Amino acid sequence: MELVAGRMLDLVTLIAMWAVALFLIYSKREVWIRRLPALDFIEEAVGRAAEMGRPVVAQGFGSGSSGLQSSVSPMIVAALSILGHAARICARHGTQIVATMRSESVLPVADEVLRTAYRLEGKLEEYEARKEEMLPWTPNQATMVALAYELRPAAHIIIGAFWHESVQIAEVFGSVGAVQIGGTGRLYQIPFFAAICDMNLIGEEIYAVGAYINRTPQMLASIATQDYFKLISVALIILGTLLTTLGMIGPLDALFKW
Amino acid sequence: MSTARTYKRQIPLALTFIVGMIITFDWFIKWEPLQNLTTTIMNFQIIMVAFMMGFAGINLVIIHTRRIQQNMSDNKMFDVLLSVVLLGCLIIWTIAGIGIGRNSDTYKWLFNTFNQPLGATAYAATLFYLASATYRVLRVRSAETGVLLLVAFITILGNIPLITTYVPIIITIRTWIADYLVKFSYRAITIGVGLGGIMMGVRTLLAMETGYLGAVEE
Repeated sequence: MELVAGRMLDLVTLIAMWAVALFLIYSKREVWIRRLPALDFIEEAVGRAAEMGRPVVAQGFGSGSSGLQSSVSPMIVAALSILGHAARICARHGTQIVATMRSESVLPVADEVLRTAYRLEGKLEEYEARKEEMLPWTPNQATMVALAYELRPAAHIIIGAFWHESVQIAEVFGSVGAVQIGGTGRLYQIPFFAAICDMNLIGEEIYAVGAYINRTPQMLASIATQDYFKLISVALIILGTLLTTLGMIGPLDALFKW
Repeated sequence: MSTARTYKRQIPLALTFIVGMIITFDWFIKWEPLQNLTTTIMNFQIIMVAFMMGFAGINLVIIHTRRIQQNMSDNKMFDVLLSVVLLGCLIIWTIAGIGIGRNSDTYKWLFNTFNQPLGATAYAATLFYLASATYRVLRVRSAETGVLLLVAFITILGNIPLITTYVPIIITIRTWIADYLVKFSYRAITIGVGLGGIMMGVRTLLAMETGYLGAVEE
């Protein structure tokens, strides 16, 4: 048994993140996180849908060829948290939610998320009766476009991992009059969502959803850990810039290759 | 919480932790038994996904057979046609893929004749949506959108040979924007997404992030 060379810094960083997160969790320190207007807007968007008598479409559970088994699964898990949150609000308001997905591996998970949300609101029978129309499988952007024209939803929540189809789907939903809440950690799709959607979650904000909704001290502590390490990253960037300028980058370079 | 519901929640959480830790250790430690275990888990995952796809195929046949019956009694013949086409394609692709083989000429012909042109058409259609989205975003509504418009204008002009031939400085400005302004903001987002992904993993392994079990706010 031996440690894999070149991954030592990754290992130390990971252990440090675990340690800081666990310390913050068990020390029960009070942590403040800023507002995320896009998440607050979900309630408003569902209310709008209820007034208009039109459904809410939520998607983002594995676009392209990805699913829960892929490298973008954290984004899908985050999107599922948002689905659970939105589904509870929809169940409460009596608004229909339609959860669409590309990946067959997400379908049973999304089913469970919706089922739990409706059960918690005491409306499980309603979900069971309309499950087929609330959980359609949409393997490509063409089916999403067709769905947009068919349902003409009042709100569209598009959060998760997307590729080029993001602009096509979001633009069509925008053109049928849906207010849109977009969010992705995929770098090249962020500008599209910023351009088209009414509200946005940018980058790592989508990962903070669970903590933002639940607001338990443990969840908030993990968000604080993330921020501390972001500060360390900024410090390393400044240090790297200075050392490069002074021609002394050698030790830092060696550390990153450790 | 009932016992059944407790098992339904606790067993997946325990499995997530065990499997997550094994995969994480395998990334850092070179040890044959661990590597074998990881390979077994990965193979199991492939089998699970394949099973799910098979199950989805059967489900699709059941749903559309029911829809054909329903739509025929409602006299919605176009909807019947769509379901028939879908089931027909499913059968043809299954026979070609599993029966004849993915490397066969028949499969390649089907792929090159139907799948590829349809995919290319869908991809090309993105252009029109992009144009529409560009029109939507390039309206000055605030100071930020004004800056966005200016940057977009410079970038677009910097890609037009007729303009760059006569105003070469625009290439320098465009390159500076791409190399500095765009790059540092992209890197900031990349760092944030990376750290967010790691913490999401930590929360999932510690059973704090349970949204994928449908347990949000429970």
